[in-house]
Amino acid sequence: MLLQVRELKVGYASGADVLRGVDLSVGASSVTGLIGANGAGKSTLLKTICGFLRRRGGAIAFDAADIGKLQPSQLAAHGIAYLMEGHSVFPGLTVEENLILGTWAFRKERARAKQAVERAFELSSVLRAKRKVKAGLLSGGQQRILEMERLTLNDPRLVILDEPSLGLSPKLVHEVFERIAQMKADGAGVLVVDQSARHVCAASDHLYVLRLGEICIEGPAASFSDRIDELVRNFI
Amino acid sequence: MFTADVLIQLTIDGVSRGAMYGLMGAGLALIFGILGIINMAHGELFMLGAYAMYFAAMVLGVPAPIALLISTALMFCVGVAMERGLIAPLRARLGSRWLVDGYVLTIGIMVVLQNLALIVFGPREFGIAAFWPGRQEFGDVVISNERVLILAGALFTTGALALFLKKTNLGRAIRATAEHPAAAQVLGINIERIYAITFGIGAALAGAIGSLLLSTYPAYPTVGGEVLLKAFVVVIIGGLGSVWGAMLAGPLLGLIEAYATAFAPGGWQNTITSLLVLAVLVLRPQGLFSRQVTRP
Ligand SMILES: Nc1ncnc2c1ncn2[C@@H]1O[C@H](COP(=O)(O)OP(=O)(O)OP(=O)(O)O)[C@@H](O)[C@H]1O
Ligand SMILES: [Mg+2]
Repeated sequence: MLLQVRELKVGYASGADVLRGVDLSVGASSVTGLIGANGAGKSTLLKTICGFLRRRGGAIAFDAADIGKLQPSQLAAHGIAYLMEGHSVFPGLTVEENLILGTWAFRKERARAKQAVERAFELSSVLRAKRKVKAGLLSGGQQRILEMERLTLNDPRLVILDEPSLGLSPKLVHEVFERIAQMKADGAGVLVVDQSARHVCAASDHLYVLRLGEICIEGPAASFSDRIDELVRNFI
Repeated sequence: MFTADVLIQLTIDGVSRGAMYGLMGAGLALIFGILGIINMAHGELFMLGAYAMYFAAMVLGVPAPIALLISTALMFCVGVAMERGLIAPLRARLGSRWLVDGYVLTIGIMVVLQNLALIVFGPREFGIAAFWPGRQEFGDVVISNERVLILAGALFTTGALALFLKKTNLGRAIRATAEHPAAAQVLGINIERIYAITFGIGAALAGAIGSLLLSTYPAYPTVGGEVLLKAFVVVIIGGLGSVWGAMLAGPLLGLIEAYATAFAPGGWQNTITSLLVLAVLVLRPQGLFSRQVTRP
């Protein structure tokens, strides 16, 4: 397993535990979906894996190595990409500058960094047309495309996505999930949290349902595909 | 009475001095953009730079350009040390509630540095007449060499700062960290390092300007006060936190001051500046040169 979370306990400030012993794993070349009601602790889990929160108990292993003390700034060097909740473009920087910053972890390999940025422009006509435009002037959907492209510039081995389809048009939601399938095809392990349970279930190999800080159901996504509505009704 | 040569002289005077204000403001804006605090000790960094320049050039007899480099490099280190030694520990201890304390901390640094300078150097002014005595004549226009030097220094530093922020990896990382520190971290940027370097750059700018302006503002313990005031004006006109705004607002303020001194009755200079600040605050609080880029 690429990522293994065991018995994870996390909370904010001096409050009670938000995650009360979570087990979850993500394999390479696969998509793992995580769904759950508002406030279940999905974002908290991702933030903890990515080093923004410190665990109170349990273990987080990436490639069998403990990453419980990882700083967020070390993610990229480990080959972990993280789409945090909300917006993460740099609005005052141009689209090109945003992409260049996506190559920060290997900026010293100039040719490779340059090539990665150019490839992103070749693949996305939307970004190509806005190359010198400030990212803050793009539409919400265009910003999300920029975030997704920036995420994969250094060929991450693990991609962690927090609500990638939030606020997007149906067409763009489709594009985002196609992009996720592409990441899997490129060999990455993907952990995706999203509001749209149906899309997550369809895109995933394995599915987890988080409820009040605990995993209440898990299994191969295919086994849920015909009863996803029931799942949403009962647990989300 | 005001012939072309006088106007040209006033313009050069205004732009060169104003560009210095602009750089002081740019340093303030850089630090504000990254750390979210107004560095009240910025004038004291200017003051330290001026002393360093005086001692390197006049006491040790180092050639002026090298003395300038020494004082700038020294002030960069002072800035980094201040951030690492005083500001970072406070931020680490207080988390998100550190801003007010951070602000008070810089006031404390200001007072300590002023008094330290008073104890070590006394109230005496350490100044020089000019690094480069003499003057240039272009037809009717006569410009002192010192003015040429200050103008060149100001324009060079402004250009170098702009290029650095715009074109280098580190410059982009500084801008990115100011806009979205968490996203910058996720891309691998060590923002603690960026904080320290940015503070160092702000201090180095203040130190370089304190050095370059030694013939205008001699080094003495409270010289920073007046300069900090100019930097504030520049930051308000240019838009709080806008480095580019500050770089543009500086020369504008310098020009207004220069013309006001020449054309308005004595004492009006500061009034005109204050009116400008008031007008900007009332009519365009985001600053003259800042364009709002919003999120959808
Ligand atoms: N910064 C914070 N400080 C204190 N409590 C927090 C903080 N962020 C989240 N919480 C609490 O932790 C719990 C889990 O929040 P979390 O954001 O992880 O939920 P989520 O599953 O991602 O929900 P959503 O679907 O709304 O994104 C919630 O009860 C929330 O109120
Ligand atoms: Mg969430």
